[in-house]
Amino acid sequence: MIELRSVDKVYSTGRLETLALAGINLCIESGEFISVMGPSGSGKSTLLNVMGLLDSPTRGDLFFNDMKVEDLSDRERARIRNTSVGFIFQSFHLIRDLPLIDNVEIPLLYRRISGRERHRRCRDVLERVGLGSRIHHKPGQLSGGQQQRAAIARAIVGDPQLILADEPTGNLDSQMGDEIMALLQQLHSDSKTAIVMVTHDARLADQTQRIVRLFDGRQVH
Amino acid sequence: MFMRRRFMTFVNLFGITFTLVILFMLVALLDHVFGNASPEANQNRTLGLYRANLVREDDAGGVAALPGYGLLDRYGRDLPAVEAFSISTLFRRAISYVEGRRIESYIKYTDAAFWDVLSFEFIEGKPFSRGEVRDSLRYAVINEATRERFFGSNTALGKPITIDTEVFVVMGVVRNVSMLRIVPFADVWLPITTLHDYYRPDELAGLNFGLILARSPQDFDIIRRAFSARIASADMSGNAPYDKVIAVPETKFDTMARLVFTQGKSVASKTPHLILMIVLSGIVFMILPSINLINLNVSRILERSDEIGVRKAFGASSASLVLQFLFENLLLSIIGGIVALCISLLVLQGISDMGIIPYAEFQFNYRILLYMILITVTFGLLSGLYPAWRMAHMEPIDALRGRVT
Repeated sequence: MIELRSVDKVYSTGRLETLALAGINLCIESGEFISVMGPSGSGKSTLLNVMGLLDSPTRGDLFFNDMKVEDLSDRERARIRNTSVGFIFQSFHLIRDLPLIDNVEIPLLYRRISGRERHRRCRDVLERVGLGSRIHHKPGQLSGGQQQRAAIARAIVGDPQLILADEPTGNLDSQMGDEIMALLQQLHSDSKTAIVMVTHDARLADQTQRIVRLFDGRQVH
Repeated sequence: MFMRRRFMTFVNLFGITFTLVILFMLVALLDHVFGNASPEANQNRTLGLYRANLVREDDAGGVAALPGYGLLDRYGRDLPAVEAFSISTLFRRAISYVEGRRIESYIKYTDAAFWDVLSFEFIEGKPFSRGEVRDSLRYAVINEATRERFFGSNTALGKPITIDTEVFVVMGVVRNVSMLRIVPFADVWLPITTLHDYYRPDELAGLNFGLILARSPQDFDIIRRAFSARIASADMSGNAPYDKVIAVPETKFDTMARLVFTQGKSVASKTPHLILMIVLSGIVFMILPSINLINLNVSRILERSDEIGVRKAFGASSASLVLQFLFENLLLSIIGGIVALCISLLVLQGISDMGIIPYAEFQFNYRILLYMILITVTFGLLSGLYPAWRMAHMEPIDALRGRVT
């Protein structure tokens, strides 16, 4: 589904260049649940951003469903992100002034779906993640775990092929983290959605099918 | 979305409203002076002779004034394609005394065709006729304010009215005319033949207006060419040391344009220049508050960078976000426009009520509404385009990380 071939990512700030990724060769198949581990600054989040088309490789090739991403326009990349990818961020990134249902609705706003259908799907997915009674709550009125569940709901409402989760349990205590992990496992088994999860927690990584390890931007085995 | 940062929204709204109030009032003023309204309801087929310049070939000095009676009478009458031609004087003050009370009025002398060219609203009686003007009969048409001053709540028809020690009989009462409409404006209209020494055949520059009601606007060129041919061979013998007279049948706006750009010394039309100057002035006036709003809007966008990053991450294209932001800004501008409209109407009503400009009643019409909508939308786009562009070029990953500047 996703293939990276000799991908490098270099960040330039003035005269300073930082090699965030170097020579990454990676294949993610449909339905895989993999985790990405490594120390801070090893390039884990950068890898996720490149896979999610939020960032572009400096060198190398990225293929998404056999399409070479470099050849795609910004509009086409946005369309792929909308239809095929769901993001879960460490700090949730819910819009604090919107109720949950409006937050979860965001991916569907950029598709041709009626308002009624959008709300129906949002209610269903919020029920699925256990927040059916909180749809009109604002993020500030929820616990960290509930906010992350809402973020998961937002990530899956559009039935993406791929979920990219950047330290989804990083801001949660262990109990909440376990709950989130259980939810991701359930999502994976129910819908066979591919999930790539960045984590520091070896316990959680062991629950996935494969672990990709990074160190200083390079894959280590 | 406006309730999220209420103070910023309020500041935005205040800036928009303040700017639009001033622009709306200028539009209302311009419409009041130049727009079609009684008694100048036929302006689409009316030309006027509003200026006359006497010049020397060597360009050493000249006279700039209104047309003289001689110029209008000798060269303005019987032009082709003309339905009616009128000569009238500029208004002047006159004094009357009623039961010991001193009353000041503005009086104007006109011919009978004056009432054909213009469309006054008579609330009593009728205007004086050609025969009555020819016979110098001492009839007067007064406005309702003068009726009130002289006769109270009683009818004025057939009653005598003394103007500057001369007695006239009221034969008609019309609605008040705003002083800003300087051509038809007066309190009392009198037959021009009752003015001592009105007939001055050699006078090319003076204190008169000529009004030409064309059969149709398509005849304007015919009229202008015919007049231009006559005036080119004008007899200047009684107007030494001047060699040439410049006068053009044109609209009031055209006259103003020629005055602004050439002091009336050239016949070349400067109307497009004046329109451009007004439009550019409007835009320049909007630029400063627009820049202020742009700064505010950019700050709003930067504060919302997280939201923008999320939307982009989940598939919002730059175009859809630009449209979203422009729509928000336009909506704010429209709200500001509505508030500005209400404030403008109140201020204009206040100006009307205070009588700062005699008889000025600023009316709201579809023309003004159209211009106001145009100004509001322009302002909304002007203040929203650059911030929207900034938003469009924000990388989602930078927006999510709060790394935007």
